Amino acid sequence: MKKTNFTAWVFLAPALLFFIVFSIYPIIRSIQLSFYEADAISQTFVGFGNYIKVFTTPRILNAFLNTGKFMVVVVPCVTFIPLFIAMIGYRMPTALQTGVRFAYYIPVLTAGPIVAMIWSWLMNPDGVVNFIVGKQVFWLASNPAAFWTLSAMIISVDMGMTIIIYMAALSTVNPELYDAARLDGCNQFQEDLYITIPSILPTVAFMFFVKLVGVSQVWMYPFMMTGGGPNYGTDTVVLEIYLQAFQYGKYGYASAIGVVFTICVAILATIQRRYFKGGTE
Amino acid sequence: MKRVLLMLLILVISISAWAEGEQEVKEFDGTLILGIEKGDLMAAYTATEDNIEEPTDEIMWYRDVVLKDFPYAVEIRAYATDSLNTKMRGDLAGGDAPDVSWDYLGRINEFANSRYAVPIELTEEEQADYYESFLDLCTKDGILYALPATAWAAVMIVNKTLVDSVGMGDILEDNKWTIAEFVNITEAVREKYGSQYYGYATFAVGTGGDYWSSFGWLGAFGAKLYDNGKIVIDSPEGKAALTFMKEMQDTGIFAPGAAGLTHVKNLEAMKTGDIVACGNEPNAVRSTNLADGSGMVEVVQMEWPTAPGVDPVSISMGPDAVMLFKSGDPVREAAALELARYMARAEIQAARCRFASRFPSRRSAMVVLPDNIAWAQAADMIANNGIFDTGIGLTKYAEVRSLWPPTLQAIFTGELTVDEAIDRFVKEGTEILEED
Repeated sequence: MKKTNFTAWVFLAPALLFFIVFSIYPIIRSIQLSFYEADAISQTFVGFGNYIKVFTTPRILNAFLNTGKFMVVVVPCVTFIPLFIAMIGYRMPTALQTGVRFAYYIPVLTAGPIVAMIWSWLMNPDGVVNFIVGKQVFWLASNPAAFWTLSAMIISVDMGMTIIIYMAALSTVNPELYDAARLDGCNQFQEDLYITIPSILPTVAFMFFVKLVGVSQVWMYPFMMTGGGPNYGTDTVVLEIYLQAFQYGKYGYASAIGVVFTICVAILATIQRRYFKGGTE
Repeated sequence: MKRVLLMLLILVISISAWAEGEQEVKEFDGTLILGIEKGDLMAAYTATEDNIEEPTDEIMWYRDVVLKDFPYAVEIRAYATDSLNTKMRGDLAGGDAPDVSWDYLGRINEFANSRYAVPIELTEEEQADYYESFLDLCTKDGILYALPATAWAAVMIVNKTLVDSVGMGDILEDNKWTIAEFVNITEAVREKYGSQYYGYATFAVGTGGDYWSSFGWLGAFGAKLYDNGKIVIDSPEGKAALTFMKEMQDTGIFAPGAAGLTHVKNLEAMKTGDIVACGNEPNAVRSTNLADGSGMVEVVQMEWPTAPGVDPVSISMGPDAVMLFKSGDPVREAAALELARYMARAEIQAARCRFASRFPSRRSAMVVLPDNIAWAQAADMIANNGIFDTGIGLTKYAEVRSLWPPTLQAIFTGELTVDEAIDRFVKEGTEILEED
């Protein structure tokens, strides 16, 4: 081994050790566990039994469906609405830009349970929102209202960081391109369409990927605000993994749900990356 | 040869007898670990704090005051309520389970079975002292795996001020009433004060209050949730009870939005003053000032109102229990059994009944609380009406219980008919029970 390689390995070793112990090993162990009926002290090999149960239990399939719905609704919103806001904000004077960043970043700084409590209070049958709309709507107690309420909440909470990243990306666009475009008679919309968006498209693609993975793991807000209800209307896969493992002690079954879910997300992420790669080329 | 064999036999018997004698005199000299739910520990500490000359923290108090007469050293391990079973499973997996666990049976029943728990044999005296229905909850396949402690009970608390104001207070004179009377009172209240007043606030989010919220109504129709460990809610009585709840929701007798209401609504019911009745423990809701300061609400305690032909209505109860985790060390397990007996003894049960209005599982702990009419009434109800089987003794109790809120939500939101929702509950619940 060359000396430089050895030095590199020495520096990498602590991080690698952590990565292997806390990431690689749990993944391998989860896959192994998914073939067992496992509780606190014992494991019984059940082959593909847990997987068959995943695909034949309506409650779990419904959780996959709900997670898919959250991804379809929330991911485009938390990717493209921040892009729109960042493009408007970037044109503002510096002081206002700071204001925009601050306003949208506040929910990111606030602890999730606090946000959930505030939204629960707002959306309560006797809450502020119903007071404003002037009628009693059960935002969290009827379907599909609960799904849309949670989606709106996740979107509002999740945009702040993306706006900051987009604004940073916008600052890297070469200003000479805009000067040239203006000389050619481009209006502002054309500048954005032909210069701004193509220039930051890799960042948008990255954010889309990050949000795809992030939103697929939504569980805290349904857990705190609706308990996955009403009637499983906001139940998600990760919430089910949590319930099956930590509430009901079914670690093998929860692992099987997790493995199936990881495969689904990996397939989606691969498709998304291929699509965006093609787009940027 | 015979003589040699005889000598050998005598030798073996002598050694066995000597070894047995040695075991008898072997004393436990380690430290036992007592697992206890933190909320319960805090409640006990807070309730008796005034009696302590030098208050310390709750764990020290427990060790120094409650366990002061126990002969062996005890380490107290407090578990947070929400993560109790997860932590307990972790301790089990790591070979570090507590020797004795005292907690709500609805949680520890996951462990109080042949896989994890040491079977308990009662003396004849103990057997006679425990109420049989409590022992049954802790018994699986004829073997006792935990000692029952004290239990809460769900009764109905009624806003007497509101009922009196519509001139129907005479219905509340004894603690029995019918569903027709309950509906009449609510309609009179709504007519007088407006449609923002309700008869009851049932709720279906989370499992925290199904006893207060819905099981009482099942009992009111004579319906059973379980019978001998099987789900039997798909009976005509069960369907009638849930159909009634749906009708009450649709007609505004029950507070709207039940599919999204939580136990908080129930707890606040008498403070807001706009609800005729709510479910709760005896003494949990006393006569109180309204939250807006506009007056005072006098409350009385009632049985759940009954459907025609149903009398009496059974009472939902939830006991704590004390169980022993297997350690593989007979001496340690014997000491742990002593600790379990110490924890479940009559003196502790009686004290707990006094400060927390709970009900004992032992006859010798049945205390008389002279100033506590609500407690005495509830004790009578339990004795006369029997206990509603919530399935709390089943290993899979918690998992099946989690199916109940979605069942109610499906009915209240109209996404499923009563029959469809019940069928789904029975199917899914039975599958879970069959896994055990």
